[in-house]
Amino acid sequence: METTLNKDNIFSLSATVDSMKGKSSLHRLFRKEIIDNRKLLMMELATAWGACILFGCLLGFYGRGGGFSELAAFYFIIELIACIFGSMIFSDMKNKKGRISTLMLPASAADKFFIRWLFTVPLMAVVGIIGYYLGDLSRLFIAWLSNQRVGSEAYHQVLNPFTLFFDYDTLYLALLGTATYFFMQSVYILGGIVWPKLSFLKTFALFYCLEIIFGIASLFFIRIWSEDHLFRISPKNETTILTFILIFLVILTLCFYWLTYRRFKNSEVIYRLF
Amino acid sequence: MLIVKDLTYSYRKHSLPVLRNLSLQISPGSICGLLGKNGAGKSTLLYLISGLLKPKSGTISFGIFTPWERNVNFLNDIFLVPEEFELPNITLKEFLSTTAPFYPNFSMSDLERHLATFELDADVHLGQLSMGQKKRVFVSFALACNTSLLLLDEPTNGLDIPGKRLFRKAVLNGMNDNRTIIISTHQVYDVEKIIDHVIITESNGILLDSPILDITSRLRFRNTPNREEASKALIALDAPGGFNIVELMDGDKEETNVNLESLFELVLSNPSVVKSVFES
Repeated sequence: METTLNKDNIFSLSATVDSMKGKSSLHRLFRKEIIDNRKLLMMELATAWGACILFGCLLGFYGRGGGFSELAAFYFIIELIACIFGSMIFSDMKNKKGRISTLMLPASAADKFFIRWLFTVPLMAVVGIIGYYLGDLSRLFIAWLSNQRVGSEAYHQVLNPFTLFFDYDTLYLALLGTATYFFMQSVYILGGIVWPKLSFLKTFALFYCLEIIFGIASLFFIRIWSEDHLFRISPKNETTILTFILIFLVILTLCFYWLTYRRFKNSEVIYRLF
Repeated sequence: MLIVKDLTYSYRKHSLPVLRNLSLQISPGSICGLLGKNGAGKSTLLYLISGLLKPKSGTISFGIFTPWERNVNFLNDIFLVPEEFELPNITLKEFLSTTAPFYPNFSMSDLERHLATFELDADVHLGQLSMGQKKRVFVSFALACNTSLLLLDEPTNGLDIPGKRLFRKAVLNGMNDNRTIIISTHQVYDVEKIIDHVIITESNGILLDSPILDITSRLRFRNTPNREEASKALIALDAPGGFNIVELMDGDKEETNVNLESLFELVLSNPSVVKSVFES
């Protein structure tokens, strides 16, 4: 029996394969990720943007928007979506079949990890920013449709979240918000490689247990140090404390990326927690 | 050359090893049948050879590579077809355009040849294929990658009777002097005609590691209706019309084809006799 690939297809496919052989491993992985997982990627885009648009429409419907609280709500939604998708970064490794095809693909662990990181972290951040603008525009559109008359001028404009970075009063807030976004996502990315199944829920449960313990311990020590006059939050040292927190979050985020990579590199065909 | 030396592996720290002090060498240019009972560690051995598991002790080397390091050049030159695998939900052409470039020796003309051997249409959507058809496509792709080491884990599972025949044809077509193919199976009839080297394992190590030529020069395999002959044989298995027997080769007798099932039973039931036969 003859195969039904006609000559044009054979030559064009051969040419594609040959040209791709000359490209870098990252290039090939990037292309493979997009083609193999295009449905999943489209679904992620639709979910992220759909959630933002839906939320924007609700804000518009109820005549809200243009303020910090709405911006914070958008931030929370985008953060949640980033964490959910972050926890799915290694979802193809949840069973033996997926682990084999991932681990046996001829590319270095660093390249494979980097491509996943690229899609999950920077590209997801861009998707989140676009989602925010789509959501705020949807809010304005709904407000325009319903011909609302709300007094605030800000309500009738798209709020640019990047302005927070250019005002000294809000700079730390913006930086902390950004650092927290990436930190939280890195926690869920690490959770994604530690628990390939139900990783979001498991990471959520563990992280909040740890956060409660950490919060209680912090309050306890701050109180003791305050009583001993060793520590006091004042406008003078507030900036220093915020800077420390910022650096701490950045270092932790980088550590979590590194731990995720190490765990991925040492993955085996069978799942091991330790 | 694939060299495994004193390999020990257990899935958990304190559990019994699946493989213990296993050593073997496989030269290029051979199709090796890896046989063993269920749970003998055949798949585990393939995973260790392909770097998907880290040995607890002992070493594995393939050329200059240590599999567990999963060096890109090693991964370029090895292909594992697991018993169960996943293919993306895309067309075969898309699959080829995304996956074939990772294998420097991939040949489109070889793929066409293997697909033709398997009587497959190349314009297919991988998500719409049955398990057997997926296996045909994947084995064709694996052969077309022209890797030096090809590991096939239970490759005939899921194939229909014509599929098994075509599989044997495709493997023989895809074989060359620089290539090593290891086929792990418990369906001995499916690979009997194509392998030129047999390894029979159990958890305590290798029970038999021998080229087919060596086996046929030492043992004779035949069917006999004679009960007395059967009683004198090394092993006799009930078969239609009498017994399948294995007996020692006499110098003047003609060599026979290996009956893998009989050999397998002989090795498992009487390893010490087999050892003495092959050491003499």
